Amino acid sequence: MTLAENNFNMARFIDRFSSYLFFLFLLLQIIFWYNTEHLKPKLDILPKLQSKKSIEGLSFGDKEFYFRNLSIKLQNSGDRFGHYTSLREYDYKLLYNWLKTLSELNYRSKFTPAIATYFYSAVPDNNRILWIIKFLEEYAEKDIDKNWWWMFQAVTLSNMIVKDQDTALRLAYKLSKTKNSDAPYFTKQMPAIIYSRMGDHCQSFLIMKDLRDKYNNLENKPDSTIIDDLQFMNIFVEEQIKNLGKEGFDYNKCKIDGARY
Amino acid sequence: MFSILKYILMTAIRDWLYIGIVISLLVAFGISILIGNSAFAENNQFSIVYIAGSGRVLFAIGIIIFICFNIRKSFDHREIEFFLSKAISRNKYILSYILGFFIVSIFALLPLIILISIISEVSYSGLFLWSISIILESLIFISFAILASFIFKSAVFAVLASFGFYVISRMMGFFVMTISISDKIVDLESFGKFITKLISIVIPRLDLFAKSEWLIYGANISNSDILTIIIQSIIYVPLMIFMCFHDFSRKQF
Repeated sequence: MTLAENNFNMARFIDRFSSYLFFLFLLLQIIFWYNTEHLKPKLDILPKLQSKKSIEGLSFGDKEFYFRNLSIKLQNSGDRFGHYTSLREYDYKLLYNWLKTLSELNYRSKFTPAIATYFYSAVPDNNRILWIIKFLEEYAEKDIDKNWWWMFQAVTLSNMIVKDQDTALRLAYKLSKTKNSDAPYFTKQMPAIIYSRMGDHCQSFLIMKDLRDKYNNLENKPDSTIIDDLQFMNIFVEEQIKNLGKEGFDYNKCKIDGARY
Repeated sequence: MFSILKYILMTAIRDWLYIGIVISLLVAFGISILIGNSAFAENNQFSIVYIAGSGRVLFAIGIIIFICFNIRKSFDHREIEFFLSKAISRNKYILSYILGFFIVSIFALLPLIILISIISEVSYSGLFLWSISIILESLIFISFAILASFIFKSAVFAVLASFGFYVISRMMGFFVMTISISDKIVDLESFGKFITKLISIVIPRLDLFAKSEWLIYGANISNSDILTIIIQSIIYVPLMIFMCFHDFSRKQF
């Protein structure tokens, strides 16, 4: 049998059985669908963390664009085709690493600390909030003069939500180191406020009194903010003296605890 | 020379380049605003970066396809032979072609720059430098697209080569980083390093061009990146032009 005859036969076979062949391949497609139906895209709550090298490669020289793209991805994480995920189900360690990666990609953007503070901290689990506090602390202390607000948020979360006063005090001391002239005076007062919450009225009294005395010596022209600050500090100092009196302790004997932070 | 410039501008209008780019930019603008407004914070910054990033890619795709198909069509329809039969040298012809495409690209970039400028919170000093930078970037990949169209006989191949060139140029920062951080002495790896190094010698650093962050945080004119961009363009564009001269002078019609 020659090759030409072979080809002819093949063509004739296809012509004759084309309808059957169509149904055969349709059947094969259905079998294929039946066997692959269970293969669904894996929906992770948070996307997998990318390495610095892959970020460099995939950003195509425009890291800002890639940062914004990843930020939107992080913001929309947990959306599993219309099914929202409780924050309790998030892996907060992975989230912390994501936040850290994003802040390293663009430190100037306030998106990352904002989404950490105002969104991801709203989880009813203190262990998870501690990851957010850790991120805010690390983020803010890189440049405390510019980012005092985020350190303040970390103090607030530790103090009000987690109720971990030791952490709050440690962060309050870091907050008080800001030299930003636009930062409100409460950034300096924060250690005294936390001490007061901890019940250490002696330290609270001494720190606030010292701040008040320094504030009085400032050569600022009196305006409404300064008067309000002074009034607050006076009331606060008096409150601490009263509290010490109730404890039967002479406030003149109070000494600064220098070893702490 | 002027008639060739006029001819290229007319072909850009004839091939719906401007309308195509404007429509695609408007769609990209709408999507960027939508994504920006859905962001948790810094809405305008998101919109600016998205329109700048997507607009740049759309512009690059549009202009590369236009150039490659335009030049190949000129070869196929014997328009080039017609022009060369007039009193014009081959080099002058190439120069007018390149100049024509540069002007076309600047006109095509204007809508993108205008769209970015109307979003509030854009840094105008940054936008100014970004615009200069994207013009210089476009000069580089346009020169390459012209060269590819003269070298390759297929328009599709020229387009693919130009896209490849653009993507690799945009990833040059990554390649340079890979060369510098890979310190293992393995034969295969050192061979790969050598190849990457070879590529990095001949491919421009487009990753330093038109950074979206300038549009938000501004850019300093004394920034060393900007000086690098200018020097890179001054070197690379003439390099491509002279390669075009060389290739075109050897062509037989």
